[in-house]
Amino acid sequence: MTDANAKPRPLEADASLFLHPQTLARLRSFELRAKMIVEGFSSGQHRSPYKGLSVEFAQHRPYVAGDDIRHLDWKVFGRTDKLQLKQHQQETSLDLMVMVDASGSMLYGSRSFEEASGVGIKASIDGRAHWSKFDHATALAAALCYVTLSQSDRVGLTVFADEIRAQVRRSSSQGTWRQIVGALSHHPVEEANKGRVTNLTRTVDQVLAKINNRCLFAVISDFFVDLEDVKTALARLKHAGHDVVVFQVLDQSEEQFDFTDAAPFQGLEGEPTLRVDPRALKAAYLEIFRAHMAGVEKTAMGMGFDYQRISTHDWLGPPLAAFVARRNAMIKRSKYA
Amino acid sequence: MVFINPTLAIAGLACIALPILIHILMRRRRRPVTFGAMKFLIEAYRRQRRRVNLEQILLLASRCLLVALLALALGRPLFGAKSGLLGTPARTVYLVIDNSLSSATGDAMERLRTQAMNLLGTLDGARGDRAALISAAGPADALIAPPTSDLAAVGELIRSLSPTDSKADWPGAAARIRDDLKRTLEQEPGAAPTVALFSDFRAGSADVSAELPALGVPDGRLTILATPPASDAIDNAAITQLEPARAVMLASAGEGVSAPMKVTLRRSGSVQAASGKVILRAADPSQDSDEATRGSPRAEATYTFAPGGTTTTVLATLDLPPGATKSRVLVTASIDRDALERDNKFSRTLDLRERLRIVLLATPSDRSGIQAYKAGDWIALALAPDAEAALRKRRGEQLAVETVDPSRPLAAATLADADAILIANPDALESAAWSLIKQASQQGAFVMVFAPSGVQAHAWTDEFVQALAPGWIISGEAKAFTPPTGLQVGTSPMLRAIAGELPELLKPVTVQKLLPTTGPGAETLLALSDGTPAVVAATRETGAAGSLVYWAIAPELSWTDLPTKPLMVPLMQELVRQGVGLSGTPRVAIAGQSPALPLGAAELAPVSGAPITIEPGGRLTRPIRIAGTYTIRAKGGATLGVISFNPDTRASDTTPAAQQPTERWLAGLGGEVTWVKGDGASPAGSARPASDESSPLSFILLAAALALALVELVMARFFSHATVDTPTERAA
Repeated sequence: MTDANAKPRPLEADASLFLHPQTLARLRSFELRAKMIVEGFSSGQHRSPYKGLSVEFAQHRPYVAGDDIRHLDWKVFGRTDKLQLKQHQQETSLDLMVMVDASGSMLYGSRSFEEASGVGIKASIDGRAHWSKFDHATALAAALCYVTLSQSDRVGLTVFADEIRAQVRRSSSQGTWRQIVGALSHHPVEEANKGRVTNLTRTVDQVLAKINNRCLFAVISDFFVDLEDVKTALARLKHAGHDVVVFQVLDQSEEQFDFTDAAPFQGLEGEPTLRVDPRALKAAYLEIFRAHMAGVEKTAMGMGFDYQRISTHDWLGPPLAAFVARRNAMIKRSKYA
Repeated sequence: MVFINPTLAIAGLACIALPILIHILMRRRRRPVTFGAMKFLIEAYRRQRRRVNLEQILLLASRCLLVALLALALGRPLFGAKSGLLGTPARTVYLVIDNSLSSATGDAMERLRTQAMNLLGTLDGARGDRAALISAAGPADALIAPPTSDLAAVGELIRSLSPTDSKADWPGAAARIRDDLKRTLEQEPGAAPTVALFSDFRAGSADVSAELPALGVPDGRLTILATPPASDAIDNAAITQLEPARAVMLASAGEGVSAPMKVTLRRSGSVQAASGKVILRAADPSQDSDEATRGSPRAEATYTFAPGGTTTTVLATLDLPPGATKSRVLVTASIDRDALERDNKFSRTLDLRERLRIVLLATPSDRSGIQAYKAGDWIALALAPDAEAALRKRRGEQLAVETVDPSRPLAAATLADADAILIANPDALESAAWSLIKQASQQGAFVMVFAPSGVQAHAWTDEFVQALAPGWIISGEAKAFTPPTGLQVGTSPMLRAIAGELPELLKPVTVQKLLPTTGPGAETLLALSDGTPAVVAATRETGAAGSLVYWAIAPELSWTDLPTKPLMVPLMQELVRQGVGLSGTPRVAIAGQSPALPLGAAELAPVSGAPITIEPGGRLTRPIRIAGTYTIRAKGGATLGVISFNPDTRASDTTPAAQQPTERWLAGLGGEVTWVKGDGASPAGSARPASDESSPLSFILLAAALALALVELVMARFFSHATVDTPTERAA
């Protein structure tokens, strides 16, 4: 999945390199990251699907008292002397709601920042020495927001753990991008949320309480919660009529569990320390882990949502493509429904 | 099961803690690993906990067992061996070394020491072996007991052992071992001690006719090792006795004195005719003998052993010039060097006195005529015959007789410094007087009691017996002899100075009356023709009291005509002089034996060196095993006498003993006797069985440890769940 075996190319030669974590790790600002990701992504397309979106006529209906006279079709009135209201197929802007998991487990990353950057940068801007799942999740979230904002659609952001930790209201204004970047950059997830266990259902409930139109939800999390919680949360989104793209961010060590030395294992969400020989537990762990991953995927797919598994060692092309595809599909459904 | 190397086994078993420690440290010292998916890892652990724990316990147990097996193998265990401390075959060996006089022959002592050291060398203190050391020279001394594992200290003491002048005290040594073994067996009921005896077992050392006491080790667990008896005959002569004609010599100031001495010799080994020279020397007892005898008076005599004879006596007269000696003189007899040199000398002191003070308790008489002479008169006359008055005046009165009326109260001062107390009228004495006489006797005064005449019922005998002669029975009534009976010589050697003339002098003497007596310890000096004791003596072996002579016949004409016969004067003179000589402090003692000491003696002071304290019971705080001269001192430092410790010549018998009787004799200790061959280091002489040196169980344990190590490797590999990815798998 990684480009470890690929022939190295100059950074500037291929914009798609910007989708790779090692490239993202070099970029200190979210704005730059998002821009690079989107540019890198769109440079591979033949045409932009996001241009020429406009208001299209749908039908006429008779005027009734109380209707807004601004929508009267004066041309029809002139020809037929009847008051007809001109109705348009309103191409509603596609609201994107990005939910980023900032629970303790998202802080984990087995790849050092220095190794990920490849240019000697030893720590992130906030001082972390490893490239965490949260880094990967925020890069993806920023890219999604950037793409959506560039289409003048509204974007909202929720950073959550056991509850909503930070939120940016949906908007397509120019200031929204700044708010999103600020929420992702400076959110105190590293320390304050340490030990906070993800509570997806509660967060979804809180988010849904403020939304009354259909949205596209991008839920970015490691989903290290009970499967029932995942099911409940996704079911409520589906019930509210929203579409969801599920991005499950994982670390390579979590997927492969390639530890060899016996050591005390400490969790990030307040779990007890476990002194084990990892080799003795590898088979059982992988079995349980894979079963859980499969369960999340099955739940998402079963509800008709898109599911994308992202490794912190992988590039962001596939998830971004999945998002764009899902968004296009949703636009089409809206247009011709 | 016991161990040859218990220390290694214990140390190894302690090493079991190592894998446990490593296990604990490995858990503690690892850097913690932060992991995101702990939720699933905890779930995996919950599912696998039992299996993982079991694997860890199995691994830890196998590692501990591996260490334990190696430890046991290094400890070299033995099945069926007798157990000791911590199950080890700790050997307890009692080394008994004969350092008595008989070990002074040739290089015997050096040889015995070497053999003991060689046997000691077979022990290993590190393995818990212990050794005790007992010197057999009488009285036997437990130099190191209870046994110690500090074998170096035992070796040091063995090397410092040297021959003494006393006889081997094998029963005493056995008693010391038995007492110690009693405690050992109480603490370790399964102990199997070894007693190793190092001696030549010559006749002078081991009296095989007397049984040895059993050591009380049950079930034949006692091992007796002994050096075989010496088989070579050694010729040896020893001076067994040096006796003066009189122990107290009377010499007037400015006059010399001749001291006739009798030297008794005994030999062992050769039975052919032999002769040699005896040299007598006089010296000051307060000086070192070698220094004192240089230039001092000496006399020589030749002794001769008849063919087949083992004892002989030789008489020699030592002339002591005037002024050459003081009140005491140390006489030493010596013979030429032979195989056993230590018994070639014999010393004793002679008392030189200007006069003897004699208190005569006799009822005064008027001496109107010889018919009116009473016993006291006859006695006084015999001690100071008028015929010798001129001589007496010239020499000074050698026997100063003070006649005291017994019917008057007796003053303590009267008897205080009396050399002899002669009681002619015991019936006239009060009870208080008897107490004073008893006190004087205990302080060394010679007492001679005469049966009184003219008494119908002899009531005085009870007080006499109670005060001076416990156990004696004296008839209450005199026995008359009609016709009068004669006298004959008795068995006591007290009159040996006049023994030659005595039979002839006795011939004219007749006895009409006698107050019969019998009693323990009584030696007959003179007896009637029918054997009835007429004059008896009680020589006190203890020496704490003066000698006692009892006359059953009153020296009066109504009882006997003895006072008028020529015998009376020499008999009375000799009895007084010998009686005084035998009384008082002892002058000779035997090395290794408890000396008879006078009352009030507080310490024995050698010519040089620290004095030996005498305990209230008369026991010495430190036994004297080496011959030498000691001054007997009272508590205040006053000199009570001089005593010479001489070699115990019973140990001088160098006759070799046969092996079988010696073996039977030694077996009396309660075990089978194994003879130590040669240098004592051969297997038969080793205190540790030869089988101890190899342990077949060690190989089995080592093999088991190797097998377990392989099992542990497999388990460790399997339980680690380590896998090696093949290139194909990696690509997939």
